[in-house]
Amino acid sequence: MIDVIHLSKTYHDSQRGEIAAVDDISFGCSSGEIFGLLGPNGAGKTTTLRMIATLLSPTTGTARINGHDIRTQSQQVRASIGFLSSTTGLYPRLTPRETLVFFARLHGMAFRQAKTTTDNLIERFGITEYADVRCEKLSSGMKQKVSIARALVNDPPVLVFDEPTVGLDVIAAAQTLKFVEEYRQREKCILYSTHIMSEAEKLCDRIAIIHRGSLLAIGSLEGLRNQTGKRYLEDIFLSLVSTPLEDLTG
Amino acid sequence: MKAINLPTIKEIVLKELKELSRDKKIIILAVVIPIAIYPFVFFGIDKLFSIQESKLKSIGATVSLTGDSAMLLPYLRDAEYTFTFVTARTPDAGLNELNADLAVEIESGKDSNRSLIWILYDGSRDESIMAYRHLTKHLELKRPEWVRDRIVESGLPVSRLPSFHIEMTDIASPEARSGHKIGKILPFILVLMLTSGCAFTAVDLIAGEKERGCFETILVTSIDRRDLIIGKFLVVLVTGLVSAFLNLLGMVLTLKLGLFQSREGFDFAFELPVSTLGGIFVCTLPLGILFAAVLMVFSAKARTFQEGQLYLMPFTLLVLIPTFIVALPDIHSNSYVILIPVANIAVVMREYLEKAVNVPFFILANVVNLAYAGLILNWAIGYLETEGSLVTRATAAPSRIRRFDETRASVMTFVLVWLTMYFIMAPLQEWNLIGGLLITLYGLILPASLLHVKILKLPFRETFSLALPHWKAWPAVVPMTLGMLSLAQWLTHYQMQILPFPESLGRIFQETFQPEGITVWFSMFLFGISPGICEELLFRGAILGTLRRKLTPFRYILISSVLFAFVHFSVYRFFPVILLGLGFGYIAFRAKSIYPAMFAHALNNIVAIHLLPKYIPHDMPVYWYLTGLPLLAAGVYVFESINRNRTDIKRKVMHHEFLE
Repeated sequence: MIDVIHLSKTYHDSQRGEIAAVDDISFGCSSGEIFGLLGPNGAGKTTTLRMIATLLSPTTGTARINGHDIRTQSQQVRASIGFLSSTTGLYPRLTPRETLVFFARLHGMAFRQAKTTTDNLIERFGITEYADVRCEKLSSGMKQKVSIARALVNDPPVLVFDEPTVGLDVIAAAQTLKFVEEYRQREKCILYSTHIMSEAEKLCDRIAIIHRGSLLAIGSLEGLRNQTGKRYLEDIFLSLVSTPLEDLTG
Repeated sequence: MKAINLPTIKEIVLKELKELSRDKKIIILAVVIPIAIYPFVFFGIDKLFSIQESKLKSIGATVSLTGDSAMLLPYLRDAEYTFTFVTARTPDAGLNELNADLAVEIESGKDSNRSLIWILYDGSRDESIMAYRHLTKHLELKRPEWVRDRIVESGLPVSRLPSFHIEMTDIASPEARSGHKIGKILPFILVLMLTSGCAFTAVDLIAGEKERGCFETILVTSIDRRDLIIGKFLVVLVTGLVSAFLNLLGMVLTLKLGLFQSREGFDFAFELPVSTLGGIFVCTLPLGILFAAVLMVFSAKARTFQEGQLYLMPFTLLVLIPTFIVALPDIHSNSYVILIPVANIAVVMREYLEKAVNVPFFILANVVNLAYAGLILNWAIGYLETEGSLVTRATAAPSRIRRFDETRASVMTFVLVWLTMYFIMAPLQEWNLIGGLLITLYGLILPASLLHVKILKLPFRETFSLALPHWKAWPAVVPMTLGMLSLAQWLTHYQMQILPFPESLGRIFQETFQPEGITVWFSMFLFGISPGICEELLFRGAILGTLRRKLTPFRYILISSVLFAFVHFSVYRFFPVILLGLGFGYIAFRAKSIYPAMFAHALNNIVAIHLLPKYIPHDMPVYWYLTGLPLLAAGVYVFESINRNRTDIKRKVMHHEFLE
């Protein structure tokens, strides 16, 4: 479903020169799997996900999403992805219902179909109560439910979550994680980026640890434990980050 | 090119309008203020004027009289204004010691019977200015009485007093008179209304949405970014036009309701007949498109709503400057004004309101402005499609790899060169032909070509095709150029049937290309070799070399030739120059080098200027020019054979490598 192949992104800064935000990373994720991208702030997670969502173009390398190349088939890639990040906001002056209908229409649905899909999502996500209240008046937990529903409006095979629990309270964060798990059971391919170790531990089938734009390790939690000899993900992460890159790449 | 998706654009427009209609700030800025501001402003100004005027009238003014000026007293007693008179030794003493508002002194003429009334007033005080105006106005009224009294004093019969009477008739129709007044302020007001109408929406729709995170939300859907931008652009345009229209309506209604009366010092009374609204709208539309497109780019450059607002002030000032042109005396539409965006619309709008519209210029101004608007919109779409403009820079620095679309950048370079040539270089050449031409070629065209390649960070040698050509290209250029020149002459002949070349222009050409006082060699350098180098570097180097990266050979040669023809500023030579441009483009394309094209260009100019007028009779039968065809064919044959050989060599090399 997701094949990331030697993906790199370099920015040019007039003072600092060339900056490699993402440096030659490769990984894959298949249906029914939650693949975690774990790293601290500024590690290159968001840049990677933005390239996958075709918001940014890679400097070198590419990725194939549901069989479509991000460089040459950006529209098909976006049609295959439901993207949600802590920065993807909702239109404050539209209601959840209007928002969902609008996005369904943008995905090419006829008005009647858009309405039916919206009604189903409203029911499934339990947002009936405030479906006709303007988004600006909703709590952050309510907004996040609407955002997830928005990302699923066209029932995409691939879901990309970029730190979806940032800024949420414990209950809202738990609900979000529940939805993510539910969609793994529906055989979706889920790419989940986070800097919260416990989330990655609880959710992800495989984890890639990213630091300063480079992938330090990939594997299941068990595999990473064996590789580092540490039990907790936090310790695994710290041991990897403190290990010089040359030692890891051999 | 992919067709735009109208249903998607419609959805975006409807959604944006729905959101905007729910925003109180928008409703207040775009609807309430335009309707309500004029009654408040005009009524308020009117009231303030009245209050201030009656206050000053009731206080009155103190006038200091010196010397003989007391003789004015009988004439000033019935003045409408309340004057209090004091006597002073000197005018200065009156003003400084007695605190008078005015000082009056009379100097009687010794040798003539002419007296000088000397009035001193303080131009920095409203009381003094007002008193001065009323005093002079009253004295003007009393002048006949004064003259009569002086005649009587001197003992002459009053009946012998020579006199004249002035009667003025304004021949302008009331509409034209009103149009003259309104035409000087309406463009200014319309530009202000349009910018304020477009600005808020533009900033909210891109910078605001970026800040709220909504922009990224829509960017991750499968819609085409161009459709998204067009949808948002239409909303910006519509709100700008609606706001401008409501402003206009508010102003017209306020004046129709008589809430403001014309008064001295603030002559603002005018009529705006409903019949003129159509013409005003025609002029407003291209302006709206232009402003909406520019504001979209500003908005995309901003990271936040607040930052977007910061860009608005300089933009508003910048677009207001050209509108001041209508306030200048004796400004009419002409071929210069018509090319200045915004100013051209302001001038033709004034002429339209004055009922003195010059129809071709009116159409041309709108077409030119629409062309600018289209160009900016095209650039805006190109810019807004780049990742740096779409994703907030706080989290993603713009990539320098694809900042501009190269095809658009080539057209922009050409437009800048063309405008500089039209407004600066052409007058310079008119003033001093040789100096002007050298500056145009080596001071504008050559550096513009180099800068274009440098700014776009294109490979220098590859873009300018600085490789040495196959040796056969050099001799092939000669028949090819002569053939093209003959066909260009043939084309000119047929064009003359439709659009005859004015005789005066022929003389100008002759004087231009054969100026007195220069040698044949210098003339060849100036009109042959220099354009050959500089113009080729721009058209077959920078522009063609850039277009080559995106377009097919046919398209890039054709586009560069059309641009090449435009830069020659002559409708009579347009098509022949296109033909020559196609030839030079073909040579550069087939030779894979710019040098033969430079040689062809220089050769063409030298033959056309120095040999054709001398050796080709004026009345030569037209079909003789067709002898150019075999020459052209011979040239093409050689160039094609060079290319064929190259392809064969390449194939052989590939075959060899494969075998190995």
